[in-house]
Amino acid sequence: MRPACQRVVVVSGGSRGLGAAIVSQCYGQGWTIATFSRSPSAFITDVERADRDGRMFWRAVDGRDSSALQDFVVSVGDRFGGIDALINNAGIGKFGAFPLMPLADLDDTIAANLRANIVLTRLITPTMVARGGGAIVNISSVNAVRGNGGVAVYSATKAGLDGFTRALARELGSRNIRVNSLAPGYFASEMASVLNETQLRRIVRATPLGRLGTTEEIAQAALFLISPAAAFITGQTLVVDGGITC
Amino acid sequence: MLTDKPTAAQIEATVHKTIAELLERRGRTVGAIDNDNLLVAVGLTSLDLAALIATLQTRLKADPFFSAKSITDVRTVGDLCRAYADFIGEN
Repeated sequence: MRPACQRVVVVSGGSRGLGAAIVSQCYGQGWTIATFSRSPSAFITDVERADRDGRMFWRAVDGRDSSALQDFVVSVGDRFGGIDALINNAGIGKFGAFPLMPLADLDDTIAANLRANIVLTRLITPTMVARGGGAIVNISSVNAVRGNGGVAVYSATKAGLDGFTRALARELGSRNIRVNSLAPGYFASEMASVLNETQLRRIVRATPLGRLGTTEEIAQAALFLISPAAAFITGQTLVVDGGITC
Repeated sequence: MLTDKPTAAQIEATVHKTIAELLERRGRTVGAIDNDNLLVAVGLTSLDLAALIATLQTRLKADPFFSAKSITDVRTVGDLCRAYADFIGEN
């Protein structure tokens, strides 16, 4: 594996929340970062301003636009010469009673959480095959492995990603491409901010470690999965949830 | 790398060269690449085709198989050359 300073990771949705934490930690470990989001953020501006050696590349891309995704991947290839790792982080949460869910919310959730990640992976895997290896991490959720009310479509998209992970790991393992899912439990994030005090207290009570996770803890697990330390791990879902699903 | 729109002959030469390089890297014996050769007979697996398309994307700045055409329609080396020539001609 090449030194970290020459390794390129694509992180979808890297402008805020978990994506920003992943970008920050990868950058801190010497990775070259290519990331996109629908709009910039103060975080992206700060990293770009501090970037002295050209290791940060951000573009405005809506992941639901396949053509824009293709242009982004071509730009990354032109700029950095290839892609070593992909972290499919971008996603949205549209929650509520399923029988009342508007069709537009259902379509948006599937498009952003499942289709966009699959398309991005389709665009990047040929270059990984050509280069003889790579690592892919799909950001899933504990909702993919445990049933909870109000998150049916979100759960379906994340479980879909887990199935995608296992099938792709089988298909691409012979070419030294590892594919894993990372299933975070409840951690301080925009998505968790929709939970009220009572719900949060109930979650904390049900969590053996007795607290919510932090964004940094989840990002560290993603970084582990793309690192050489995880060289013999593929096709797995790593649950990082303080034990709530155990 | 080609800077202008490549001609059909340039596309063919690039495709043949890229196939030969790929097969060499995979440790396979490379004879003359001919447009009539079946891709399977040349020794390309489906993942080799993925690698080939990634390299051709870099060299020809085109990927006809992302949205325009299915790779399953391509059986011979000549089919592959035509797929790129048609796609580049149309775009």
